[in-house]
Amino acid sequence: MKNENSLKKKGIATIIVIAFLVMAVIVVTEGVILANYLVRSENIVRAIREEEIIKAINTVEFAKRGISQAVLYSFNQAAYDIGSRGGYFNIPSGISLNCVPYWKIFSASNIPSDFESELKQNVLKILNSYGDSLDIDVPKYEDVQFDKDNNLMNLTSSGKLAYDGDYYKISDSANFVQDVDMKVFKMFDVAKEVEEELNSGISDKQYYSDALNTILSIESSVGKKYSADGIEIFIQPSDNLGDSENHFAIRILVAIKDTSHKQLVYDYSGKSLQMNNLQFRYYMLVGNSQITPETNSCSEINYK
Amino acid sequence: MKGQLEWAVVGIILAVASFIIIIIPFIFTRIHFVETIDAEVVQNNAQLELLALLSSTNQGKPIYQIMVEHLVYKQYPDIEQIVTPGLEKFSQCYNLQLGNEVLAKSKDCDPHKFTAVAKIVLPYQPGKKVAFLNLTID
Repeated sequence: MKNENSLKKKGIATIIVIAFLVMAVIVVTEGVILANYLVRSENIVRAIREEEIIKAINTVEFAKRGISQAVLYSFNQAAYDIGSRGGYFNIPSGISLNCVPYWKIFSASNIPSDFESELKQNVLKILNSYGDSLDIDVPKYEDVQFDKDNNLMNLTSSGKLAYDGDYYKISDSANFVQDVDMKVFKMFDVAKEVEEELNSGISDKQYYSDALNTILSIESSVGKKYSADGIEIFIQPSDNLGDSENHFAIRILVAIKDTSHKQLVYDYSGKSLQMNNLQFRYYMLVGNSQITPETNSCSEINYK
Repeated sequence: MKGQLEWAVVGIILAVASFIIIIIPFIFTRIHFVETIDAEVVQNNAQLELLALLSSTNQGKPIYQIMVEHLVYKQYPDIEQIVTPGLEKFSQCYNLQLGNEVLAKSKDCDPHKFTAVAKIVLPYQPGKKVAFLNLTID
């Protein structure tokens, strides 16, 4: 009976020792595993942050590509709009008919004095209307310079492009240099040349029919001169608005068209994007019968 | 002695239980992290793939502009042939969608795991400045 009790006690003691050993192994194993996790979790968090950096950089890159396109589209639209409005961003009141300005009303000249500045205003207004559409903060652009010799446009802003992610903020210069076709400046020069030719070619002493011949001749001669550049000239004289053949007035619609290529622009009359040629349009009122020109109001384009 | 045995058994059970209770959240957290990293890597790859595609050209014309002109005018009926070589450099299971139109899709595979989205800037028009280009890959 004593031996049986002694054996029982020894067995229980062995089980308790084994139990403690098992507990010790569990505690040590858990310690090792937890320590390992703690060390690795640092690496994992680092890896996640690295991926976040790549994501942030990708987002900024996408946005930059978008801005580059927006700059190009802004220039094309601005050139198209300003050309259709005879070189004006805002046409002064009382000198336009259906938003086409009179560059000349008999002896009074209304040729835009600072075409480049008018174009700049348009480009900036359109470009800044894109600002909220991208996934990063795009600052307001304040200035644009045209490098006509190299067909480059330099846009500057005092702000920065900024991406504000979960872990990181990235900022980059917002200044851009973009290739653009500066043909609009050449077309403006051609438009002025046609105006000068018409102005000097049509005299008060002419008859209405002589003036028409002069117009046709100028259309042909200047047209030939620039046809190789893909620029076509259309001059459309009105009927005699005066009261007789030698007491005449003509409203001339001049259109200088770049027929070398079309570009995607928003057309306000069709209210849709269309592939259109860039063109300059303006009226001239000439003759020796001082009539009052037909005009109507033209509102400013509201870029939104 | 009998009481000590019972305590030992209780101790072992507690130790095993606490081991499991402590370890399980770590395991799940770790799985979550690893899955997050995997997802972010593939997501970023999808973004890079889109960036590479939009930066490439076809016969000298930027793919970016081709997509815009296609969106506005549907003027590239062969757009799938234009974009597919660029897409297949990175992934064999892809679906490229511009707005509501599927531009290119891999055969025998329907990807759904990771989608990268790029905003395509459109020519100026009042109210609509961007379209969405989605690339889904597995």
